[in-house]
Amino acid sequence: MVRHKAIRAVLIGAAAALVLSGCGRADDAGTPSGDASNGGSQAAIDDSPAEGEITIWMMGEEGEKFPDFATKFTEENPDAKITVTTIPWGDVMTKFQTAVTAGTTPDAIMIGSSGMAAMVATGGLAQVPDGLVDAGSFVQGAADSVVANDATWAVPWYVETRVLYYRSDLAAEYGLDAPTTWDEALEFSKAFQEHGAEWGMQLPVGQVENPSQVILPWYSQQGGSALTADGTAYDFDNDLMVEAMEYYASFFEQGVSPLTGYGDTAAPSFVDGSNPVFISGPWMVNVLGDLAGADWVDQNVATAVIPGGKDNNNSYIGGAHLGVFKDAKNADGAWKLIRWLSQPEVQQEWWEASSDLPSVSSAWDYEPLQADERFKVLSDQLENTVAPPSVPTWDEIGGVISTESEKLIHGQTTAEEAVKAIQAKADAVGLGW
Amino acid sequence: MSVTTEGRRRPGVGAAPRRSSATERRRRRQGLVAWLFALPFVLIFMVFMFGPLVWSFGMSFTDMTIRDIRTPFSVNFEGLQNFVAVFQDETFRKALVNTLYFTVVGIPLTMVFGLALAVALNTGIEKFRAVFRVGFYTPVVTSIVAVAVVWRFMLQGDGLVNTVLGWVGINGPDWLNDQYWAMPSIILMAAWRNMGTLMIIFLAGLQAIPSDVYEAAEVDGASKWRQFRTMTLPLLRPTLLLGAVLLSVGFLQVFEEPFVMTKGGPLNSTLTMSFFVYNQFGYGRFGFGSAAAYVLFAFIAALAAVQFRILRSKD
Repeated sequence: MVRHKAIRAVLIGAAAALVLSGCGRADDAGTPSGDASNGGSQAAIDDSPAEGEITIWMMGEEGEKFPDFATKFTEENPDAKITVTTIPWGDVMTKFQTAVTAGTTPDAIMIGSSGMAAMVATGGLAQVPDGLVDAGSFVQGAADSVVANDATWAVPWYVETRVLYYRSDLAAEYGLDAPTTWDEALEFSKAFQEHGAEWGMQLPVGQVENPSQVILPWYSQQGGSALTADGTAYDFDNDLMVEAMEYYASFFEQGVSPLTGYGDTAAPSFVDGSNPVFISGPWMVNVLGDLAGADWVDQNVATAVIPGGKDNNNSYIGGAHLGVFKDAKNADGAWKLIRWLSQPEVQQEWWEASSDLPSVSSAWDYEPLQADERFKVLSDQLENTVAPPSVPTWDEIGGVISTESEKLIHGQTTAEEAVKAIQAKADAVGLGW
Repeated sequence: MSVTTEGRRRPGVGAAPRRSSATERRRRRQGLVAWLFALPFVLIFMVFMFGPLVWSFGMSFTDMTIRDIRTPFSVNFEGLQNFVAVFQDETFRKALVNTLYFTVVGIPLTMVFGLALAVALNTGIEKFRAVFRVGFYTPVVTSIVAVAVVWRFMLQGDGLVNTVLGWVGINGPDWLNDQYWAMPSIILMAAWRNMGTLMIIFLAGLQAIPSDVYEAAEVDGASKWRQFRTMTLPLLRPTLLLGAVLLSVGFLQVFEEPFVMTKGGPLNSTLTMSFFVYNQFGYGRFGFGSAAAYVLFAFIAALAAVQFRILRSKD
């Protein structure tokens, strides 16, 4: 008896929920719920000093270093006060969604470039006001990655791109030059093995290490693009993607890279010479320095631009943007802070404080930056980059690429089948707008 | 208990033969007062427990994704489409198989460990009993995040486990990076983590068995093993089932172990249903993720129903 009542209660409740939720989507045309209520172009931001409290969410090291740096802004804008909340990288999406749902957002947020589209899709971000910054002043890849669904949602803050790291001391000893093509890269890696290294190249394997970050650039290097020309669907089912997948697999088939990925031993195995080549971002200089000392890194670690495919040598570009919430209380102040941060001189000062690479092209004309050989390589590489597609479901599709590539190197699928499977899943999931 | 019930009912029972309208009114008022007292709980339950449950259940029939969080009511009703999609999803089917593997192997293993420890502590170990009891219970209360670091060190290719195996000439695999050995490693760790709870429960069960039955068996000349098999186990049956029920709900929802140890890899070989659901919510597929969560719920409910049936029939 009691049980029947309980069941009835659940059914009634569920029915009520269904009625409520059955209201239907208002905008099925495929536009993000963002633009309609946003009015596209906001009123331009004037040149008067910023006022009031500006609250901003930041992640990782930036969140720790920014409060001190921000005093320079508050000196110029004495009526403004900046409150930084530091959030772990892993929690950003959850916190963002909760804040947007509950309407308890701060004014501004630091946005990891690959997560921007998913944030845009929630409708929580405001568009960048017309004339706030000059889109042409930014590094090309960064300028592209703040555009999603035909609108601009954030301002690039800093960039990072991946380059080839190798043991210069060993390479000199064996008489090896940095590779410039796919075939050369494979031979280069094998040469280290012939001279006694256990492995020739560290490549990411599996969900955690996310091999889509190397496969996407390889696909791009062959001339492919993750999205169709009109940007309405994923585009993987072609020979170029098959070639990228086969190139990835060849490192494992020929015993150049370990099937377990680089795991926890990426830096140590590089330092001890057992796995002396990898592709990674500028932060690795510090990681290696912490392990073996900055002097050792200066003497034994070389970087070079990525070896290219048949079309170009595009490398993955990442970094962070700054965006403002639609529900921001002090949007005016937040945009002024962001505009200030994208000035070339401020970008150079921020590089001094954090070693984050400037997103503004003209900020690279800076004596201390140019003096460093490593930054020259990064600067060259930034001429040729590919950003992950700015669509909300990229995270999920990147995961599918990781899964399929892992199956491929274990011989559970072929490159053709893997590409077909990626396309099928991508079509089923859609872009997510 | 029965005395107070009797006391409370007395006025009503006394007036039963004639049911005057005065007592009727009083009963109604009493009922109203009772509801008034229960109101805070009912409200809290409805808002914080029942509401979200109904909400998430309703969500599993819609196409809600990350784009709808500002306008959660303007989503399309999709009927059972999400549930069909869940079962068509290759990764979910893999997660389902993994979860069943984990549960079917993990629960008996944990129970064997727990029972062995309980019996040892109950009969074998005389000295430092408290020390052992605390020692074996410690894994239950320690943080898995800290423990995972140690386990990863032990299980890595040149870790402690393989070093020890090397002494006896066995060339161990890279446990957590091997698609066939990753799940057994996770199961072993889960068993290690949960055996303490079962040990305490089984110990209580063992101590409830009167010692005179053992004395009688002793007189009849039954061996220790025979005593354990034909007396201890049957007498412990209700306790064993309780342990199984308590464990199974947690084991079907296993998430922490793969999350901290393998992130579901390699080749999704340690991806569990909870982990799958977690991923879907991370991707912002709320409707689809809810549907997967309720499929998991259905499995747990079915298992619980089966276990309650077994428990009841042996009462």
